[in-house]
Amino acid sequence: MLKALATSILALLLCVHFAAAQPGEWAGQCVTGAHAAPPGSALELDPLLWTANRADYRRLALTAGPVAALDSIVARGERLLGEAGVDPAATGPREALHWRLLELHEQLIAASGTPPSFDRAALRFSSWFGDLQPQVHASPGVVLFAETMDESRTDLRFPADNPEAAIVLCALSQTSHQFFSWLVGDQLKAIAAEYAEVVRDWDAYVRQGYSMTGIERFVHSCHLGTLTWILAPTAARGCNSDALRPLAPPRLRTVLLHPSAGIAPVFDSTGTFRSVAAVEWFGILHHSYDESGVRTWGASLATTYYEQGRPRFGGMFHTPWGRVGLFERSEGPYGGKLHLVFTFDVWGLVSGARDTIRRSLEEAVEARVLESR
Amino acid sequence: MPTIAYLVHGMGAGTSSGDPRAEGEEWYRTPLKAVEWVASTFSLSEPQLVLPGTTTAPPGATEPDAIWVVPISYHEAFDEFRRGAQDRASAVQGIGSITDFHATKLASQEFLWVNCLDVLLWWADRAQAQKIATARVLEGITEIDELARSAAPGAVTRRILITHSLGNAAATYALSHLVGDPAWVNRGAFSHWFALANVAPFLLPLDQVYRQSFIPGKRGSLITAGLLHAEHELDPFPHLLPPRRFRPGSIAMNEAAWNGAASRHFYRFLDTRGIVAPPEKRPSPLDVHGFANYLLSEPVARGLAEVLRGGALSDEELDECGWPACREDLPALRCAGDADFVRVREAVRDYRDSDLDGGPATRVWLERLMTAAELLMAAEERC
Repeated sequence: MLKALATSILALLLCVHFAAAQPGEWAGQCVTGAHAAPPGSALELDPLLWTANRADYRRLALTAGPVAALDSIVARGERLLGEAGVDPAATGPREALHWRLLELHEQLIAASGTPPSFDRAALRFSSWFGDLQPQVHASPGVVLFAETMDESRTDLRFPADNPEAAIVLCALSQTSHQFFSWLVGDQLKAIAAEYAEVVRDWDAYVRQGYSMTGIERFVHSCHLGTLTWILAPTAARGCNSDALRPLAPPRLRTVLLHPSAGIAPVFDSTGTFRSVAAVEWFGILHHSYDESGVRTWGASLATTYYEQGRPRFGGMFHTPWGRVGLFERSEGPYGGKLHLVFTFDVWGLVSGARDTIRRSLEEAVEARVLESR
Repeated sequence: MPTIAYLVHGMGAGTSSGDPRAEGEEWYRTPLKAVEWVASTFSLSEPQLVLPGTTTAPPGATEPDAIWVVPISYHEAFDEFRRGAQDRASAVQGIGSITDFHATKLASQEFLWVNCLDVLLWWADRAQAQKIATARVLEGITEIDELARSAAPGAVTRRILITHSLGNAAATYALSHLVGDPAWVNRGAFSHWFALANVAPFLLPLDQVYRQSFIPGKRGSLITAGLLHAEHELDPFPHLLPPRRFRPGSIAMNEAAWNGAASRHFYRFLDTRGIVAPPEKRPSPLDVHGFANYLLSEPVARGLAEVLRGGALSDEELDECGWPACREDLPALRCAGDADFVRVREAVRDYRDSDLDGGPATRVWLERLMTAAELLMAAEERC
């Protein structure tokens, strides 16, 4: 009689204790991964959680295969669910999670082969597991939970009086998500490295590559339909595809109506130079990229213009060390000589020079400040 | 175990000369202050600013309630162009078959040069500016995700995308690339996406904007739990081309799935009002389109707080925070009730209700873009 009374009082106290906590708090802990048993509960979540057992799960995956590690997570979760007791409100989410883990189990077997041969880097696991990470729900005390067989998300509720089953379900789902995230960790790292490389190459292209004028940008931007095949054939193939265009800077590009300036050495006893303006009408450039920057090779048809005499037609050659042009002979005071022209990328130089001047000024000011100290 | 909130800026984040902004004046300072205000109002942990390129995690990164605010910049792609444009009008000639009239206008007004040129370049210069911008967005997102994963290995990390204005188009295009990376898709790339003043449908094909991979809460979507789309009642920019404005479920493009997402509250439209600024800042009429004003609006601030803390707020909790009355302490626009401002309100309403036909021809949307900017500039003068 006394024992029954004591049990009832204890149950009442626990109930009051749980009710004092907010279901919203448990939902928040579930979403952020701060899993904790309700105050006064005997539930021990540590044997399941990824953060507490990461080394163990990893060792298991590497020695007995990833399927064994997933099985271990599920077994620990099931054991805790047994301890937490039955919550009728959690039946739907529990069934959904059970089904999802079963589905992923099969997909993992198909991707990882027969254990224990397991190489995480070589694993081609490509199944959706995003729903295993519980998310914020529009209602307090509820989280968005695993998908059912018809691919709709279930709602996991945290009852004020008996949240233990929901807490364990959440911990099991999050731990499974963390495990699958670890499996694709190398892929995520490779993706980040790939985008970092694209940005590095663009920086090199903008800094050292042959600049693009407004017109060149426009014709390379696929706005001109079939005309692109004539004006920018290097870009046209990508324009005709429905696929997204690659993000990397161009490896092949067209030069079109590109103005530049240069100097032409005069091969006579004076040893002087003549200034020239040049327009490249059409050309093709090839860029290659590595950690040191960009290297450009290419050729274009161009015309040079001098302060005296008629324009000269010829060709411009792009090399990693600079641009040099060969143009037809001319008459006049400098006539009869081979016309060799070295050009500068005027278009790119404008912004580059401004940066250089600004940096120089800043350095000069800094030096003066240091000097005055 | 941080929650990473990526802030992706809209137009006008760069400078007129193309030179970098002075330290402390960067575009993200004001939106960051807005997020800080939201965090302090709802008693969340203090947001930590984490800039792309950072190699060490801020202190407290492993705490479950840690919040990282990551500004994603891509305006360098446009600044590079502005830096090289000695003669502004001639520099923009040829871009997107712009007319002489628009080129002159763009070049002669500072506000248009800093703001509208970004939109024009992003749309027209697909060969360089758009690619650089996209690569920078993706680099910023993946780099900081790597930092979080290395700082707290195996811990729960959540990612939230908050995009503003042109940033919506930039992010939409960037995420279209991320769709091709199965590891990012399969783990659930972002829990929530706050799309503020979304202009993506004006600049991108509709099948990209309303694609399956963006339908929140759907299997295989990049957005696992919620897309919150906000428009300010006085902001003309989300109505650039009224027939194409962002309206998931009303366009014959995955219509049923979008409507399903809306009925389950995975997609929500947030109608925002009022013009306020973070503490110690002064709001201006231009802020109807401002990033911080959107963040501080009642539905966005509350939604953001709920996502950052990891759970919806109950009525009792809102009462404890003094919500929404506490918003009244924020600096508000003084002239909002003046007669002149009422005329602005009417002008914006006329603009939004314009019945435009046709697709996104450059001169149509550019004209509309400049008109929208001028509406706000006129309001600024009157206030």
